[in-house]
Order: sequence, then structure tokens, then C-alpha cells
Amino acid sequence: VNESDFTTLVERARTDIPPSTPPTAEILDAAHRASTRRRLALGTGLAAVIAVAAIVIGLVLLQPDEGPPAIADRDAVVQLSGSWRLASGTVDGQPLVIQPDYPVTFVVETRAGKITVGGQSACNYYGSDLSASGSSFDVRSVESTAMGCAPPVQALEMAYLDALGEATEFEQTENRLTLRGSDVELRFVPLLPVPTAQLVDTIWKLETIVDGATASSVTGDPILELRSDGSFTMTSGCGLALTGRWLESGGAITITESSASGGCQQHAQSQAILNASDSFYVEIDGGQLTVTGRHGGELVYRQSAASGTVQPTFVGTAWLMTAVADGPGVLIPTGAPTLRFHEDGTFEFGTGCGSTLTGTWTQRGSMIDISRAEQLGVCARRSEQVDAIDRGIRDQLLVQLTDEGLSIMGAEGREMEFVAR
Amino acid sequence: VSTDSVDSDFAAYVAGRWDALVRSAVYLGCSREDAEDLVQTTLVRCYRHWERVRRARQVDAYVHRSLVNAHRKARSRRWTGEVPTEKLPDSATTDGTSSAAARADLHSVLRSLSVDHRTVLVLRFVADLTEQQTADVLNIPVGTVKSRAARALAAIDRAALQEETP
Repeated sequence: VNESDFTTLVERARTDIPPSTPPTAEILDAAHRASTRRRLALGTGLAAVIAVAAIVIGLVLLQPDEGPPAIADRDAVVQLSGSWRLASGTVDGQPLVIQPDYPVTFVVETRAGKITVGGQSACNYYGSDLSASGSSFDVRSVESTAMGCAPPVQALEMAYLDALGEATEFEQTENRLTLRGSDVELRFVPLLPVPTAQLVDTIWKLETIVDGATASSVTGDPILELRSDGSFTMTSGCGLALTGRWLESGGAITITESSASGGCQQHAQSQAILNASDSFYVEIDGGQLTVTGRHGGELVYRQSAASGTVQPTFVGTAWLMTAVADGPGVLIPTGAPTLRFHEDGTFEFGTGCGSTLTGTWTQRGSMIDISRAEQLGVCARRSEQVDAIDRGIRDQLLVQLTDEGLSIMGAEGREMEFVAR
Repeated sequence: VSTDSVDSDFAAYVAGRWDALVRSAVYLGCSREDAEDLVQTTLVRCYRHWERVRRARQVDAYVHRSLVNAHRKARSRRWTGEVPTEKLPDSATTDGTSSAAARADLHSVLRSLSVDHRTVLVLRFVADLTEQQTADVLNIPVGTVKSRAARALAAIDRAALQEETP
């Protein structure tokens, strides 16, 4: 049948179920009693603690310089304290649909003897007083901002705030916080602050791609660089380069603008990098950076030796080309072709056989944008080397510092390698 | 916001939507008595967050989500051995009035569908929710609402419908 047939059927049946008087008073009475029961249930748990709290308060008053302010149950607060991110949850047996770009956070803080909880509830920001005792807690009178969001985000927010209101018990185990109530369960993981200082303006070289239980080493020289001017570059090691803008939001790095250039987007390594690249959490341990994509995938980077706290400057540098990969083979150049970056923003690339390519260059962090202008002089005879250099400069996607020197990557896997002169 | 203000707003909603909610519950598969109990339970639960529900301006969608969840839960706790069959059961009877025939028919039609298909049709055509609201209630994309509704309608035998209705 079509919609119209079915609507007619529904309309005919509409008057068949006789109306009844709603038991409004009964419903309100039951609702009031339910609210009171819940308060009493919490109160019972809290009653035993009140005496302890009174003692604690007394002790604190006697020893004002010791420890944090008095709170009903300090152990409970210690366990709840911290910043958490909702990883999963169920309401009435139905899983919450996490919206990767709209995190839900649960941040518990203690201020002036009061415990508060707040954070981002997907679409809006919320806050409330919180009481805790043993493994019980209560969130009361949640206040939140009133921004509108897309329906799935709004739905997550409503479901989360409802579930938070229903939850009465918590359990904190190693790196996990679980809130439970009648038919609701909210599971959190620690919300790690973004270690911006070490993360930014550092060249990170990809070492391992982790997919579930499988870890794969990588080929090529894929890097990640998030710059303090808000720009970033991410490469796949096979000619694909992502560039754009990033920002820190909700404890994660979000890529706000991105454009991909170069081939090999279907390459498995590129796919893994692309999957993790739109929004991700970061964790730095020594010189190792772990990038965990909000949509899955894990990339393990190591700080590149080319990184430094001071941005590299290319002004006045000269680079000797040591190899050029163009087509199936690798050509070892002759005649010492050399690339020089001048202070006035121009470059010269001596091809090694009498001709010179010139143009302009600009620096972006450890990357360079090159615009070729013209060729000066000519080679005495046609040279495969000059053709390869010409194509490499014309099609270049990425000019970057590597641990070994300088690398110019182009389309179709073309690559020129240099060492400093 | 005072409790009185919340109560009066909530009472106004209950008065206005009680019958529609009971109707939805009946067509989700409840008996009349169970439907009233289910709606009552749902409304008691919704009252706790009424201030926030009201602010979200999606009151019907919110209440229906609670209703569908409560029904799903009740159904899973009280398994009745319902088995989808190709032939409709003989229990659909008419009492001579066209509305009763239509009701019996609507009941039969809906009972012959899977729970997912039935729920989408009830939310869309009995509760009059939009596709977006239905998607929000069921936590599924709008496209899935459309495809489920289309498949549910396609599964209804037009000939059987015409035989039943005058």
C-alpha cells in the first residue's frame, strides 16, 4: 500500500479507541513520590556519612591548614574527581550514539567545599552540584546553555542528561569511570589534556599504524606537523599530503579545514591516516605521540630529529641533490645539482648541466611552498636528469625537512632527496 | 521555575496528549489497559526532567522516545511468544461498524509487521511525528526511517486491506 492508503486506514481507526480521562492527579502524585523516594534513597546512604562528615568538618576546623575542604565523603570525591570523556553508554538497553565531533565530558571539581560537575553535553555546556558518598552520587538541578544542534547531537545530549539524572551509583576502576542507574549505564575514559606545548611546532614521523590488535610498520616518510599558526600538514609517505587548519576542542584536536593533494588515496597506509585525521585525541610519552582517531584507528609517531624548538629557517641554505626517483628507477644525479633558497624569497636550482630553474619560495613551518618561474640557460644536450628535476619542481606537493635532509615529493611517487651543503 | 509552574505545564500536556499517547501504545501492541499503564509509567518518568524536556521544544518526540523504550523494555520482560507469520491470525474481527473494522484491520496489519516496521509506522502515522522526530525517537538516521516506512508499507497486502474495509 502507499502512504495515502495507510493514512486513510489510520484515520478510520482514529475514533475507535474511545477517549478517556487522563489520571493526571495520580501521575503527578506518583511523579512526586518517585522524586521523594530517590532523594530518600540517597539520603539513607548519606545519613551514615553525615556523622562522619561532621567529624571531618570538625577535624578540618581544628586543623585548618591540613587537606582539602570538608566534603561529605572524601574518598568518593577523590574517585570521581578528574576529567572524563563519555566513551559509550546504554539507556534502557539501547546504546547511546556517540557523536565524535561533539564530545560528552564529565569534569568533577572541588571548590570552596562544594563539589561540582560540568562539561560538554554534546551540544551544550552543563553544570551542577554533586554529592557523593560511598559508591553513590547524586547530580541535582543541572543547568545548561541552550544552543541548538543537529538532531542526532541533540538526541545524544537529551539521552545523556537524562541518564545522568537517573544514575545513582559510580564505579571507578583503572582508567574507567562508570555511572549506573536504573536501566542506564554511562562509561567514561579519562579526558587527557592536549599537551599542546610539546605537540605543536614539532615534526612527528609516523612509525606504526595500529588497527585493533594489529600493528603495522610504515613505508616512506609520513609526517604530522601541527603549527602554532593553526595550520597543519599530514602526509602519507606515498605522495598524499593533507593540509589545512586545526584547533583544540574538548580535549581533542579537530581538523577544521583540510584539502588533500597527491595520489595514493586508496593506498592502505593513506586510508589509515585519512581515517584518523579528521578529529583525534593525542597522548605524548617522551618522544612518542599516539594519535587516536575519534572514528577509530591509532597512529604512533616519533619526534623527528629534524624538529626543534626553534623553527628551521631555509634562508641562505643550499642543498645538494643526492637522488631522484622518477618512474621505475632511481637516478643518481651527476654534476652536483644544487638548490639554494635566497633571503629575497627566490630560489635557484642548478640542474647540474648548465641550466638553472628559478622561482619563489615561502616557508610554512618545516615545509616550503615553491613556485617555479623560469629556466635560465640550456643544457648542451637533452638530459634525463634535467627533465626529472623540471617535473619534480613543477609537480611538487611537499617540500619538507626530513631526518636525512630535504625531500621534495611530487605526484605519482616522484621524489628528490637532498643533503645540506 | 517553581514546582507549581512545572506541574501545571505538565498537567496541561497530559490532558492534551493522553489519548494520543494511549493510541500509540495500543498500536505498538498493547492492550488498552496495558497501554494506559505504559503511558502512565512513561509520563511519571518524563516528569522528572520536565523542565529540560519543555526547553528542548521536542516534547512529543521526547515522550514518544520514553514510550517506545518503556514498551520495548516491557516487551522484553514479558515475552509473549509472538511469532511473525505469513498469514494473519483470525483474531481480527469486526463488530459491524466501519471504525471497528478499520481498527481490527489496522491492528492486524500492524501485528503482521516486524517490531521495527510497526514502530516506524505508528510514530509516523499514528503519533504524527515527522521523519526527523521519528529518527530522533529511534536514534536512527532519517534515511533509515524512510526506508523502514517504505518497506513496511510495501509489506502490507493491499488486497487484504480492501477486503477488510468496507
